[in-house]
Amino acid sequence: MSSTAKFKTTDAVDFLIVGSGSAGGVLAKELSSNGLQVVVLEQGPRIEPGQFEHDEYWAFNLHALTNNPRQQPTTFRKSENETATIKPTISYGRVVGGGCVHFTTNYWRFHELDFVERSRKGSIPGASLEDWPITYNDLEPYYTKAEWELGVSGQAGANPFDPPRSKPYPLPPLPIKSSGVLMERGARKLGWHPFPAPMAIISEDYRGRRKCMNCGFCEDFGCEWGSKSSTLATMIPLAERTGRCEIRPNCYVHEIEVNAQGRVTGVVYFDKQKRSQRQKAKSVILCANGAETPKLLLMSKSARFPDGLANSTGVVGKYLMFDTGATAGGVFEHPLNDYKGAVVSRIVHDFYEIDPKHGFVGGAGLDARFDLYPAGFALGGFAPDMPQWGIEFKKNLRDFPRMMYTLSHHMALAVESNSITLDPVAKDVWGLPAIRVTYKDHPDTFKSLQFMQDREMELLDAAGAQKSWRFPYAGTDSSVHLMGTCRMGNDPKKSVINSDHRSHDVPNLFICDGSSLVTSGRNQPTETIQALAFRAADRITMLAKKGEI
Amino acid sequence: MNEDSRRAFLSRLLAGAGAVVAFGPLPDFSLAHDHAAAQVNGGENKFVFFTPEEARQMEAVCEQIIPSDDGPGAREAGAIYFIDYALSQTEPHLQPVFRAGLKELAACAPDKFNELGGPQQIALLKNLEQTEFFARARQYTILGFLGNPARHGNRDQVGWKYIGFENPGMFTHPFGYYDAEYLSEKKQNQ
Repeated sequence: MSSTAKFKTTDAVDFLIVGSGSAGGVLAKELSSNGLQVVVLEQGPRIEPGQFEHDEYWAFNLHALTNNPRQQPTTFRKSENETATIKPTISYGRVVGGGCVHFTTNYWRFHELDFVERSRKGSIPGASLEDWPITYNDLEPYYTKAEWELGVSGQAGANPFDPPRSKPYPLPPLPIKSSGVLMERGARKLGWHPFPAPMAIISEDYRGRRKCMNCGFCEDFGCEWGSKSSTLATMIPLAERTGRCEIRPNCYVHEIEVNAQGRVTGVVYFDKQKRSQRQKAKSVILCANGAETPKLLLMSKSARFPDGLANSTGVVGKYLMFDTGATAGGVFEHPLNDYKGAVVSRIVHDFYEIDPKHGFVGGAGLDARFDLYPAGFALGGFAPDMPQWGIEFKKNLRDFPRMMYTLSHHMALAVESNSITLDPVAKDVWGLPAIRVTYKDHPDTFKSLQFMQDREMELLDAAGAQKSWRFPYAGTDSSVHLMGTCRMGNDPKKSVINSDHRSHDVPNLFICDGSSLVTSGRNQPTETIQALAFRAADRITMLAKKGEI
Repeated sequence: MNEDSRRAFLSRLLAGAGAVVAFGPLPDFSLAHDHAAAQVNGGENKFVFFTPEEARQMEAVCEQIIPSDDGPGAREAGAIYFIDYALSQTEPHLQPVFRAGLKELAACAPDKFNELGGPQQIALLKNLEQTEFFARARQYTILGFLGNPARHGNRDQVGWKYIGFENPGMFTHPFGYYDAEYLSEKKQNQ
């Protein structure tokens, strides 16, 4: 830590990265290791693993690790002709390490299909499905690199639907939980192919980090052992050790500055005391997530870029894809104690491509899980038509150890009108425009939810559940996965960045985060975001070394 | 559940749907620790936000949400102390919801709420089920019964014990019946 770099705001550093999360942490480590100077500006504070708490109130109500909608409100509407109203709509990691500090650690590669779905399926009415400008084969070495650099547990070859891989996982799967055993039993009866969930948690000691202790506080919590392979636990210490990278927390960037030649010169941000600061840089990389990245571009208006930076064709903020899933719960005869250990131990990819004869285009992965902590279980663990307070409700709470849930993870079809824009009225406590979300599921995505929930009920039944129930849904209106708003492509009319992550409009502005995604895979984007970040680091380093930025 | 994003759903379960959003600077959480120390070092049963009368009525509401008929409930967990802590220390923006709600409750009760019989209390609360006050009362009673005891509710972990949850910070595998069975079958087959 003693060699951690400190840069002056007047130093024009090689790269300024906005956001220290899944992508930002990787790029910071890779670029600084390649001999380049890096300053990372992170909106949130730096919380060290020893400060993480097993406290639902801390994580959820006090938003210790995520954006606080009281400080940074969002507005929501279903279509462009409605007036958006204030409603918490997006959630993202707002600490050093970003969302991968508190993520569940599901670590799924996209399949070959996800990169070429438009060519395979043709035009879908109401959707803006596009092929990626890169293929699975282009990204495969970087999926492998992400798994080995960060530390991922899984079993290569166990999933018959897996795309080809050049190397197995570096670590064996985490212990199977009772929910995993029950899923295996149920799924096999139904002719499906359950397999050990690939998880970004180390099942054995790895590269100086301690293996998982099964404490059970993964989803929405930070790992005090450092066993969760967040960038905070892996990449960021390595970046700092190069002596060329400074991670600066509590910095809320609100403008990217450009010169008369249309090149980026640095950024303007609020520091912890809300004083305005200006950091100079030769190049800027946005890794701020699929909502904050387009917001920052849209706020960066100038005479040359009147509609926001990198937005000459009006694509910034469009094609937003949310995480979408259907869930069901079941009670079994014996205790599962599934709150112990990582959230998920077995998954199914049999429905990655749902047969179009069902009348819709869609696909989903499915997992067995227990992702509720005691208070959250009482607040939302039961179907709405079950008792929610009083003595019968209280008695049902005793089912806590005998329960598991299933959750499907769906392809969200990109729709042009689903978007991030700046709200014309609402502001955050810094006085910056609130994010306005416009979102309505594509009808096919909605149909796929119903289809998968039926499969979940079949699974719980086949696994021997004594009681099971569906959680009804009415359409996606909030999300923690924020994808597609500055997507990658060869055509500037339909995309914001090229396959090197360079913006079509500004040569020294790069973007790499959930916003880069052209399709949503099956709604587990983290591994793809991190594989893209490793690949982007190679591309950007090459461009920098050739003097082409 | 009214939306299908489970992660977002889970985070909103606890934080509330945000029907009332107040903006402004966030409270200084170091004050919360002072409050904690004050409670531990004496005066444990004093209230900072609630008046004694409000606390009596509020506690009667908590006791209907999680009754004590079959074992420790909201009363034994000290849920009311968690709520007082949250309202006075960490989420003062919610104070008006509780203060106004208790007034409304008093206005629609024929007698003092805490002195009514159980069935009458339940009937009154059923009428208020759709209100912001009831939603918050339910949410904060549950947090006071099942939250981390460091926040002054869930005393002696009575809530956790009731549902069968432990928080030692690490566990060894197997965790439950079915994974233990799976491992022993695997051993037999070897």
